[in-house]
Amino acid sequence: MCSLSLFPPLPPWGQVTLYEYNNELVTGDSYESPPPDFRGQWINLPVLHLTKDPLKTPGRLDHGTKTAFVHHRESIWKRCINAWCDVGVSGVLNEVANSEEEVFKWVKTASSWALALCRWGSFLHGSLFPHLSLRSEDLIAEFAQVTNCTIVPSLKHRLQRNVAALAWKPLSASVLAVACQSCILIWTLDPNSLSTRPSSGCAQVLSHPGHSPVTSLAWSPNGGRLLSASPVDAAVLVWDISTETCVPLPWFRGGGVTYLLWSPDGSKVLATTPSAIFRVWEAQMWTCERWPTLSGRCQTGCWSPDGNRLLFTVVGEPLIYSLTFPEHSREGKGQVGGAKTATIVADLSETTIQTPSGEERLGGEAHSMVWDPSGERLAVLMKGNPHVQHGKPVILLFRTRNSPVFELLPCGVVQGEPGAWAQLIAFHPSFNKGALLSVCWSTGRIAHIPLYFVNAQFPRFSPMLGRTQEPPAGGGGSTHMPLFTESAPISSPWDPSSGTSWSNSPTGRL
Amino acid sequence: MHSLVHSAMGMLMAWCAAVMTKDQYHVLAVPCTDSDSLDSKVARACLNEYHLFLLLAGAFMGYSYSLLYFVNNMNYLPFPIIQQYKFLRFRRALPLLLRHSAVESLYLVRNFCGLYYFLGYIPKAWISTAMDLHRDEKQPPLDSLSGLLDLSLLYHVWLCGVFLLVTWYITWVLFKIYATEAHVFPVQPMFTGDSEECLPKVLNGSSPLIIKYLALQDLMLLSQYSPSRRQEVFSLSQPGGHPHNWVAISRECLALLNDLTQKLVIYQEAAATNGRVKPPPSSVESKKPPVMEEEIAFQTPKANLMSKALMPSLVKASLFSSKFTSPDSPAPIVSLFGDGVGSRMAGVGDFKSPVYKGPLSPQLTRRGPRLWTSLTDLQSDGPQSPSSFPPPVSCGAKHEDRGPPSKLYSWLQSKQQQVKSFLSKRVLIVYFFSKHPEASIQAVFSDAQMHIWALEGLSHLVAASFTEDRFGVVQTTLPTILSTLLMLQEAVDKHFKLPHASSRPPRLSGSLVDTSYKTLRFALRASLKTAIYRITTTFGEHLNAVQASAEHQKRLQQFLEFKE
Repeated sequence: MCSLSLFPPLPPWGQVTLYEYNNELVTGDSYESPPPDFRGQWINLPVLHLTKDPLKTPGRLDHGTKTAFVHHRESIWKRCINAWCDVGVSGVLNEVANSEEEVFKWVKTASSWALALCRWGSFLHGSLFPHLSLRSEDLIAEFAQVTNCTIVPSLKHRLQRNVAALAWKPLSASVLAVACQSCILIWTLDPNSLSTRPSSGCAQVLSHPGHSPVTSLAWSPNGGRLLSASPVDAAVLVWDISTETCVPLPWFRGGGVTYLLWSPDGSKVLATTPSAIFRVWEAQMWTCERWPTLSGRCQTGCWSPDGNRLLFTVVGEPLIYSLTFPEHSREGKGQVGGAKTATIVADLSETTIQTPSGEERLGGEAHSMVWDPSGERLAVLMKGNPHVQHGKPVILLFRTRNSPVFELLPCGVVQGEPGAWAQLIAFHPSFNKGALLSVCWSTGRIAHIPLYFVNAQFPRFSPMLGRTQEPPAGGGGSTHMPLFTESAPISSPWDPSSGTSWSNSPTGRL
Repeated sequence: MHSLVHSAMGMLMAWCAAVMTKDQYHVLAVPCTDSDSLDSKVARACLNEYHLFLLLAGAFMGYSYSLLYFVNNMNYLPFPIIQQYKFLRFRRALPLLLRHSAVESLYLVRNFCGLYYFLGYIPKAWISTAMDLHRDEKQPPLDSLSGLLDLSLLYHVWLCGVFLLVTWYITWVLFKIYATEAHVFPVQPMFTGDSEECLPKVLNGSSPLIIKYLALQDLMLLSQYSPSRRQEVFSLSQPGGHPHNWVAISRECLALLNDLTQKLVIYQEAAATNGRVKPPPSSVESKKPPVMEEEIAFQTPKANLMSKALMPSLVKASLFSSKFTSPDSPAPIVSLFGDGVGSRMAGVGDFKSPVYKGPLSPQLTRRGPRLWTSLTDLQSDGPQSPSSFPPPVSCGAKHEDRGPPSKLYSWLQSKQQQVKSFLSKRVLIVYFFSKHPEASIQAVFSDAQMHIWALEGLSHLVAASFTEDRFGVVQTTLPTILSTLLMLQEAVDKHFKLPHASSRPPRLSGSLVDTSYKTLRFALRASLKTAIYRITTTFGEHLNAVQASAEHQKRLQQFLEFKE
């Protein structure tokens, strides 16, 4: 395990990261001008730029029409019924207690007592599970994997409020699941259809009592089942979308579930909770193992492509942990069988690195992590830290290797346009020239950063420029020391000295 | 029958409960408490109305349970969407079950009180005259408002009802859990003796429906989760080197899917001509022979597609007929049918064409009389082998004893037609006696769960064969699989363009009763699309090398570009 001091220097201010080639992150002045010698290889990526205007004012506000009408005081019972529909018992009590001279005195007193009791109870409950006392918007903001969420009004539905997660169904071109305040909406969008605003008739509403707000969704990689989780509900729901049946996976401790992640081979599911525990479900017989973490809840995690290794980070610690699982969980015996302890693979704590223009600070806590489908690049979106880059979230890029031993090497820092914050990062699920990292910047630009390397999954790619055997120019010798390797460097056949340009010629390993 | 037994059981249970509570409920006849009876010193027996009330409530609950059982289709056996241990499933079902039965018991008590208030005097008078019991003058009669508002009585009745319902529901839930538990069939026989239980045999043979369901479920599970068993499927037989396992399994799945395609095509044709369609026959005994013929008729064109002789299709025929029997009235009839028809088919080579034409029209219109005439046609067409005509087709044979249709018969037929046309003009009667369109659609997809599993198992196996199939056994059947899937996709697409087909019934969340049978068609559509996508994404560009018709190539290309 090593620290971030091995990272290559940050790109000069004002430059944006364009792509990775020959083990180097290449920067340019802007996204529109790739260097001329690279034009021949430029893949046709869609250019997306969302203008900020629709993001800032999402159509109309929720209460927008309220101001246009004269305030009319309804009778107490009508208000009670409304409150019952909206909030439940406590709403009714609140309404009765706050009413003036419409109900009998004793009713008012009784309801205010009941309300006090209610509040005390919920306070007690909240002190056990502190996250429950947050408002639902805060819940979503707290547990979502996006730094700063905004809503794009292109699909509209009456129930689509407080969207916290979106998930496209794998092995399908048209099904999108949206996690909303009170339900899950399943949109079926025809990819051939030309209409940009599908009607709300295309949406299918799935709701389950006690399961709101929904903040996390995960489709199984073979497209059969959908998992949904809510920080309020202790159970994870397994949905069969087409028959609209759901099976709760009950768990009586730990409050709720904040984040779900299905391993790419579909055998395991990571479920993090708001308390200092996370669980890994095995996806055949649905048994689970739980891992207590030392401090704080599990913030984010990512699975290796074969589903045998889990990297995760914990809130409050600038570390990346790794947890290994056995190869195949023995023929349907329903066991997870993970390692007993997690190992620390990277230390992301704050360090200073030397750049030509002076010292720069780098490091902090990770906010989200993504691993590319070939298992060779890992991108980490850091939390905003006032000492680092004026509080901007930084994207760190690592090289990884998963077999035969796990290795983590620094690759670089992805930089955007000046003033833009990274909000969400994701890898393309099947990019056959390496990996394709998509970053959603706060300016509304979605930048695609291709990382060209010979992919072990698609070894047919041969770069056109013919300089592949050349060792990478520059970059500094220190970058080739692995941040972490499971074996001792001497005994490893891929020790740092011989593996300087391993990502250029991994075809030999096949 | 079901409701009678349940009423009797309910009554028995209520009697037990009444005896157990002791104080005022436990016998039917009590000594009267009248003042005049004390005077006369004659121990007159009076009717204990509370006891009667309890017994009747038990009977009523049993009857309503049985009624609800059929209304809610609780004999439908839903397989769980995920595998879980039995104890966990039971524990999950328990709180729901308790709540459901408590609420339902409350409703039943309410209904029963209403019923007793209006009709309670009938059993009371009957019992008291039959057993020579007198009415107790002092106690208020229970079929009055004040008598019914006896909280203790109502509480006891409710408690008794909860107990009754909980017992029955637990039985039902346990049966469901045990019947749908995944069973592992070995792919290859370990020894030569137990080859009857291995997966290809079970899929092929005329096993009961539940076993076929379990076998298909096991196929789906093994194709997803167990590489070593997949390896067994792809393996070659030791002497000879034939991929018997894969051939048997894939042939079965394809036969199932082809059958569904044919059913859908017929349904669409019928919908196009008739407007309103009757469902394909359920397990009614008398309708079985034409169905049998039909299945064979569909199998025969496929026989050349599979480049097989007649024999496998006959095996399939017996298999298909097993689908129409309920799981608890299994094989013997079915195998008899299969064998009898089989021998006839083997005897007469060119018998196919009349068979093919004959029963199609009854399938379209599904009128009773024409069913029989078509059978007599059949019989007159094939007089060469009257001796081999199977005795089990007895219901058909009974009609055929009369020989050619007599005058009386035709007169009857015309009368029947007249009555039918007269009735069909009355809207109300049509409303009551015609099938609801939703129900007929559901009937077409009634056993879609089998097809879904066949799809998932097949597509997972094909996708896994990309890396795991060392001998290339899957490649030989890949074009057939693709064309079958695409044809089914076409049929399903067309089906969903029919009226009523694409509207979803409303969902009831959190109830004990499973309504997933209503939406099986959506599940089938989704899993079909997913299955095709799974194959196309795995094979990618290599699919262009697979032989397929131009139309199918185009369709596949659309799938490759994610435009479906």
